[in-house]
Amino acid sequence: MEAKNISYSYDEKTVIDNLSIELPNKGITSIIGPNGSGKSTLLKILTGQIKDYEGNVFYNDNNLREISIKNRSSIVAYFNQREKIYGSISVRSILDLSNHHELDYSEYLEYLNLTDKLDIPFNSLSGGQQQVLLIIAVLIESTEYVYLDEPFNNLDPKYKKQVVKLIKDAKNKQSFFIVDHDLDTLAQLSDYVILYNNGSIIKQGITKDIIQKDSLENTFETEFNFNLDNEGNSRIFQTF
Amino acid sequence: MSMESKTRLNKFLIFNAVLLLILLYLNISFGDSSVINPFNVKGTNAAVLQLRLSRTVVAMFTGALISISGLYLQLIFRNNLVDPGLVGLTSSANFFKNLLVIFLPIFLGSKIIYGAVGSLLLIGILVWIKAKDVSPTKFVLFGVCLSVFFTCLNQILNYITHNQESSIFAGFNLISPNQAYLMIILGCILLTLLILFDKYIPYYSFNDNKIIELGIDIRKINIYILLIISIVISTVVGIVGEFLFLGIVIPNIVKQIDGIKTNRYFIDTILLGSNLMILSDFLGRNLFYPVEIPAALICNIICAPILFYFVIRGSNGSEEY
Repeated sequence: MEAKNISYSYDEKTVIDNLSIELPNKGITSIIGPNGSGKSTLLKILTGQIKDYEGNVFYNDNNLREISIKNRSSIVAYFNQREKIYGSISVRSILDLSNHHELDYSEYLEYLNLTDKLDIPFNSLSGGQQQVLLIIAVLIESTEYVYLDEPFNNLDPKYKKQVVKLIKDAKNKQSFFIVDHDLDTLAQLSDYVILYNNGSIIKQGITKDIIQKDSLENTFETEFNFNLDNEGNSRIFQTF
Repeated sequence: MSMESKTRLNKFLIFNAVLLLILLYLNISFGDSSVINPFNVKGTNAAVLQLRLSRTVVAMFTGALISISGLYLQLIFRNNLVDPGLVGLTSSANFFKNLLVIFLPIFLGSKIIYGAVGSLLLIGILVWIKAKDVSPTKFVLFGVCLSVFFTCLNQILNYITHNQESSIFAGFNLISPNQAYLMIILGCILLTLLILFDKYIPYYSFNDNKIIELGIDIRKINIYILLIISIVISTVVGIVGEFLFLGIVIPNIVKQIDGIKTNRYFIDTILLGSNLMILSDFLGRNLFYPVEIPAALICNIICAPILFYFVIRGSNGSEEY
């Protein structure tokens, strides 16, 4: 995926300013930045939900504006933690409607211990269960690029760990682009990180080069602590 | 839960189908203090039978068409409180029908065409309002304002033109055999067209962007459905008149009973809608004989408390859906 010279304004406010970005077709890229910096807006542009932007987005050299809806469905999938499901629909229906390639999703459900939830109304589940199932639905769409907007919000530690594992397992087949505020999880999960603020990229590169104390503190204007865990990985803690 | 829903669902379908047959028989056989055996008609009863058949068939299609329109409107606008009457579709169709017949030629089906101008206009306004991202309650309030506006315009037109034909409360007492034939033909065509979109019903659980992501051009599909609904509304208004509440109550009952079995929404909605309308006609004709109460009034009396229940309860605890 390549986005060139993307600019977008809303209510006379520049949200994204002449941004260019490339995503590999495999691996996990995270974008981190303060609230209101335009990260979610960028995701909506890259997934075609916002159309009135300047610049171009290319998937496999095809302009996103010119890709048909049918073809786009095999290229891009998007999860938004604010996504709403209307009415009475079963979990099974949600997954089946997302399952273009008729994959066997029972393994996902067994891993998450949600097999017994297949034939109950989706909206009767807890918020965390709904979120996890919507992430599963996005994964089984089996698109080339998967965009996740705050996937770890509302998840308890166990679900978070399981979702991280599922994403890691899929990263050799798909390209993930994740926006979230859980910096510690992103630091462990991502191959590449983009530091983003005020509609522009500040820095980008492999995770260990970008997730640095100074960079984070300058971007978020707050203090962080970096400690090593038992396996020697750098862990990020915010100090209060 | 799935077994319970399945058992409840099968019974509901069978109940509606059997009830339809019973109501068809009752409405054709009983009325005007005379009883006709529809399977053994003699003498002048043949004419009476033809009239009763006409109104019963039109009532059946009216109930089905209004109800299914309500279902699709609720799905498209993601709003359980949307009803063709409540949001102004029927009143705008009625106004334009009454307005344009003054200036334009009248021929078979002309009232339907002229009414379609009004319903198409209203649909355009509703889509525009929805695009402003207003809350579901505000959306319905806008619709109510539009409904009152066109109802008042229509009443002014009636006063000016001394139009006795038009009434706020529709009934089937003036239905002719020709109108019945027209309703049968158009009703079958319109229901057939709408059933083509039945497979998209589960997708409306997602928002439009998500449905597009799944490869379905839902915006085009919505346009097709709304165009068909505008013809549905103008057909009902052109042949019979305006109805309120049916299009909100029937889909909500069906969604309540069918639950996650969205593949049954279509058939259950048209069956239950037909049943309620035939029952309303039957009660209107026979309850206070020789006075005939318009079916729309009876229907409103039945639907209003049910609507009250749904508004208080909130479908699935959510105001929006």
